[in-house]
Amino acid sequence: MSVSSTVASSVIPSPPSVLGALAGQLATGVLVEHVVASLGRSVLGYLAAAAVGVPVGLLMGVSPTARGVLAAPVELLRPVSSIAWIPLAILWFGIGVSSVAFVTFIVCVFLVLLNTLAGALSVDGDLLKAARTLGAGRRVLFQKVVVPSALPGILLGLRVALAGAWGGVVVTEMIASQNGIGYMIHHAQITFQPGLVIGGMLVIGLVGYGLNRAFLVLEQRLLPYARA
Amino acid sequence: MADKIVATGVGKRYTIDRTGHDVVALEDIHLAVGAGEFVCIVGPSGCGKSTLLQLLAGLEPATAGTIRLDGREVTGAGADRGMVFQSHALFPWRTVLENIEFGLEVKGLGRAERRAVATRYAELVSLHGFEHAYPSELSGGMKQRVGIARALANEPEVLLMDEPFGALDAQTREVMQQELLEIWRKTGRTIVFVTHSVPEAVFLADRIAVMTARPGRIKAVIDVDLPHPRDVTGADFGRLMRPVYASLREEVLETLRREPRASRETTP
Amino acid sequence: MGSGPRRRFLHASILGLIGVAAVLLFPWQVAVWLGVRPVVLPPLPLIGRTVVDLFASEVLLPAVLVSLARVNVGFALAVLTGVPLGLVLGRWRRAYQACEPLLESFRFVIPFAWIPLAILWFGTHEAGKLFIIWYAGFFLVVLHTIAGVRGVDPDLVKAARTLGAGEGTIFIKVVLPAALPATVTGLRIAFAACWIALIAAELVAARSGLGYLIMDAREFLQTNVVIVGMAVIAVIGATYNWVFQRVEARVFRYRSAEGRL
Repeated sequence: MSVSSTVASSVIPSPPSVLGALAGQLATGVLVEHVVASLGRSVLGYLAAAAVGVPVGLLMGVSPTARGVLAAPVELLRPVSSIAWIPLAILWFGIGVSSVAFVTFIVCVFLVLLNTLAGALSVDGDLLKAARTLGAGRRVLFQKVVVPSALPGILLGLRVALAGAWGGVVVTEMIASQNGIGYMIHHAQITFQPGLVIGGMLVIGLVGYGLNRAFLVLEQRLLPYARA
Repeated sequence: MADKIVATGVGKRYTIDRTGHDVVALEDIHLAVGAGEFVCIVGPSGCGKSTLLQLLAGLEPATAGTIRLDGREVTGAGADRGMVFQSHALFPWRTVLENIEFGLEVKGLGRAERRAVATRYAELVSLHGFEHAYPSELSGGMKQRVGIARALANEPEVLLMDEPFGALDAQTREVMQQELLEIWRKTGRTIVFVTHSVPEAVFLADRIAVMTARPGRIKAVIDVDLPHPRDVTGADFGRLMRPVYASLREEVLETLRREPRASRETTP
Repeated sequence: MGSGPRRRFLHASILGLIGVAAVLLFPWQVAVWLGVRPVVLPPLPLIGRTVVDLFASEVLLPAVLVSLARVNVGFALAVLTGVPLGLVLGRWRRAYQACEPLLESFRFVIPFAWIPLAILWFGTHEAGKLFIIWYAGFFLVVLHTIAGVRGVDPDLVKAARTLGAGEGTIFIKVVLPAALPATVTGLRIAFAACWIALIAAELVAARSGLGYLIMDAREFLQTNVVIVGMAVIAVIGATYNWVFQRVEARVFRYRSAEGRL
């Protein structure tokens, strides 16, 4: 590692100092504020993405025309890595909540849409046939066969998007926000508080893990039949 | 006839850590297969016939008793005991010829020689023309033929076959049975064949070993002294099937009787 | 081949063009006509000119090369460290169990969270960005390689043993080829993560490269440059993805059309 030794020795803080820094922030309530702010933005962007991604994904799944028309713009926009939208978001919304929520939305919407689409496309043709021989019309087919079949795919997309949302929020906040946990560790880096930086990383990891776990529990509730 | 492969007092016991119970899959198996013989093992589901085959192959160690091949004790898997699997277990990234050549590669044969041997065996199992196809391009019956050719090309002392035709449709199965007999006649290999189909066993075997429900033991060994070719519709055939069916039915009923209890034990 | 596939391709292309026009271009143009400020949405012709200008003024190409150099080095490091580790952990259960807590916990600390720490450690030195890129790719490579090794059909291993192969031969002739498809897929996914991580690192902590280019353009309110930069980032990412997919197709060529084995 070609890093000067003075820098290296001063930036691998001891665990007690990390905990101390965290405790300090916790005590003043600042840490909680940051985490709540970040979570709030994730939720905002995430819910917007779900509200757009799931219906559009389902639409594209059941209608070949919709699929043909929408596939191109989706495929064009998707490779623009979410992160690359940050400067544009700042130009459009300035520094603050809107930018963060927007970038989160972008990160999530593609994940949700594509997984929902995959779920909708994976509906077993035999199930549709069976339902039709039981008298189901188009709307019933959609509601009672397509949607439940697509549900695992939808949930997978929502779970992956959750992780994406959390990541997106953190990195956007480093650049485009005045609060939130991403901002917190960025600020800690600038003011040379390695203990807080690492503490923040731990918090980020913990929250991410917690979100994932919570979602898995939810998934099991919704899909008990998929246990095997 | 000299004995080719002999199992003496063989047993297999599994310890299931979670519940602390031991499962005895096999108990006190005595089986002697003569050189060039075709022996079928039939038994109800779960009786351990596949486990026995794995022990003979050396893929798993016996927890009791010994297994000897040509008098020497068997301690692990090896090229002297070839195996054909129900799931065919072909290497999907290798063509038909390359699959057949696998054992020859391990032995260190040169490329030209491998090709020659593999081609010969591909012809033996009637796969001429498909040498460069991938397994995914073949039908179930053809895949099994590759599996047989692959095992045979290695010239094992014993060929162990684990319900090889179980996944095939009835018609393909009949064709494969006849072809297997033909191959057996041409190569003179010793074959131990596991199946749960009594007609199949009576059609193929010189002797049939019937296994009990778990813990599996050899319940009866029935000689099939019909000359080949055997007529499945003939009276003799039916006569020979009867004792096998009768012996087997008891064990099948026993297994079914136990089933609800068994399935309760095994669900987590 | 009759008119069937050709007509379907034409049909798809037409729909695709309609889609792009309706969803992207048309609203864009309408917004411009309605007088939206160029800062928010530059007129489309300007975008075209910007592309040419950027190439000509030797601003874009060096940035692209710098970014590509970084991501390729970081990715290569991730592969060289990740694949062997994945093979070992996939093969030896005990090793995996020993490392599992470590792997699982680091997996959840997203690469972006490491950026401030990397800056503290390395400043704006290249090593910092390479570390982030390596990190983003490493865990994905390891996890996918482990899955590949674990996913090897046990019957294949048994068959090889009955054909006389020893442990070493089995590893080389059976486990490696069987694990290859999943590993290559993992490489594709890992590269995409590396690319994103690179851009993020360049947005925050760089003085060169594509990420820096668009961040800098933002400061000067040059939305046209920002948009062009985003497009270039997308094109590069998509190209790499396409290349990986072709490699995957090649590696998977023994699979049947339906994906069966």
